[in-house]
Order: sequence, then C-alpha cells, then structure tokens
Amino acid sequence: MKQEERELDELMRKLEAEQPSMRFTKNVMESIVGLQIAPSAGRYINLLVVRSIAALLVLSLVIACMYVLISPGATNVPFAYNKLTSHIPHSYAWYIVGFNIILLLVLAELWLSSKRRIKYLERMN
Amino acid sequence: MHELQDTDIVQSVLLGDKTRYAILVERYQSFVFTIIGRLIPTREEAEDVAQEVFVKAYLSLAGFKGNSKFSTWLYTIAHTTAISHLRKNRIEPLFVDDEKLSDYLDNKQHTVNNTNTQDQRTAINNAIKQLAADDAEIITLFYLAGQSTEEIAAITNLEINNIKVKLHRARQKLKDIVERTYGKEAQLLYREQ
Repeated sequence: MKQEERELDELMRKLEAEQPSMRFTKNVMESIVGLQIAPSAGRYINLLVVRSIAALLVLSLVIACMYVLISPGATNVPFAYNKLTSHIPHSYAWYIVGFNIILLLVLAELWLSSKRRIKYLERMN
Repeated sequence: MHELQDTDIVQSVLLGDKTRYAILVERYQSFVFTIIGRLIPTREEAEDVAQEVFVKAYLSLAGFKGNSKFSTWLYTIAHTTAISHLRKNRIEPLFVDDEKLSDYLDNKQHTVNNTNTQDQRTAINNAIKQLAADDAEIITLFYLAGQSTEEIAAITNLEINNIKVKLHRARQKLKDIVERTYGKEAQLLYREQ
C-alpha cells in the first residue's frame, strides 16, 4: 500500500458515527411494548434428530456389546442373539465401535452446550 | 466488569427479559443510524427507519442463530429496510455524478490552517457525503462499523470481489474529493494526527 493510501486509511479510521436523537432508545423500547418475538422458522437443532442419534447410539452399542462379549458360537445365549451376531463380520466390530464414539461425542457436545447456555443465563438473571 | 456479549443479551431477551434489548439498542444505534443516513439523507427519515430496524430486529430475534456476528445480522436488516423504504417512497438514492461533484468542489474551497482531530473528522465526513450512496455505505460499513469485505458482501447481497472493487474505487474517489476540496492543505489532514 502506498504511503498516501495508508495515510488516508488512518484518517478513515478516525470516523465517528452520527448520533440519533436522545430519545431514540426510549422510542424503540416503547415501540416494542406489547410486541411478541416471532417464533423461529425452525429449531436450530431438531429434537427429533437428537433423539434419533441417541436411539441409534443405544442400538449400535447393544449390537457391539453382543458381538464383543458373546462369541458367535456360544450355546448359553438365546438363539436370536446368536443368530444376529453370527451374521456380522468380525472386522465390522471396529466400525461399529468408531461410529459409537462419534455418536457419543455428538451427544456430549449437545448436552454440554445446552448446560453451558443454561448456566450463563442463570448467572445473567 | 466485563461487557456483556451480544449473543448473551439476545438469549436473555429471548427468555423474556425484554429490558435487556435496550443495551443492544444503545450499543448499535449510532452505527445503524449512520449506515441508514448514507442511503437516506434526511435526518428525520433516517431516524424513523433506524427505529423500524430495531423493531424488526426485535421481532425476528428468534431467527438470529449466531452463525454471524449480531452486528452483521443487524446491519443486514438495516440495509434491506433502508432499500425497501427508498423503493416504497420512490426515492432515488443519491448517486452523485461527476459534473455535480465538480461544481460542488469548485464552490467549496476550504482553507485548512489549523487542523485538529475534529476538523479531520468533519472533513472526512463531508467528503463521504459527496460519494454515491452505495459507495458511502460500503466505506461506512468497512471503516466505521468494522465489517470485513465478506460481511459487507453478506449485508449488501453482492459478490465479495464486487465489494473489494467498489471499496477500492470508493477510497480513490474519497481521496480525490479530499484533495480537490482541500487542495494542498489535504496533506495537513493526513499528517497532523
């Protein structure tokens, strides 16, 4: 940047905002008395999405536990479990575990951010 | 005591503490008023539109998701409200043509003998008022309201590259205006800071 342009830039940064009338804030606050904030078009995070993620997490955890803890050939487990786990290839167990970890992190983030927000608002009020 | 963040104030207003909205109004009224003033030169009209902006922003507060700065979101409302006000009232924004600008400058040869900060501000503000309305708005958003070119693009609904070109040209025009108005004395404006 040329010296002149830099100087103009510095000059520009000294700009001051123009002030409205003294009653401006009061006028706005009077205008919003009786007005209701319009509901948002949609929730930022849909509750159904959160519940679906949680359900998916629980379901895949159950499957992973069954697969890891119960050997496919075991005879002391109910027939349905045995049949289900015997169809899952061994290498998929790691994918399921990884998927569960991601779901767990997503849920933890959702839970912690909502907790942080509540704490903040409690402190402000 | 640390200053409350805009997003925290928005949250508490959304939870029902309406009075906190006054903090946001106080914080941004002069910026909103100045930005609108670049498009609507009549002071009273600009103030009415600025009030309308804050009422609109209040009503749509639940729609503020925090994806951008609150100021960017608010200035977007200010820009669109000012433009629709101009359209509704069939007012052409002030786009100064070169001939008119030349006449203005010929009649306005200032003598700057002793510049101080206030003189500099007045000089630069007068110069901005001679710019085309859209240039003046972009200059104000960039320098005064501290918005980035990306944010200005979002506010004005223009391409980022377009904003960069417009900003560069507006700066050049402003420099010309300052120098033509103040002649050699323009150097005093730059230097005595």
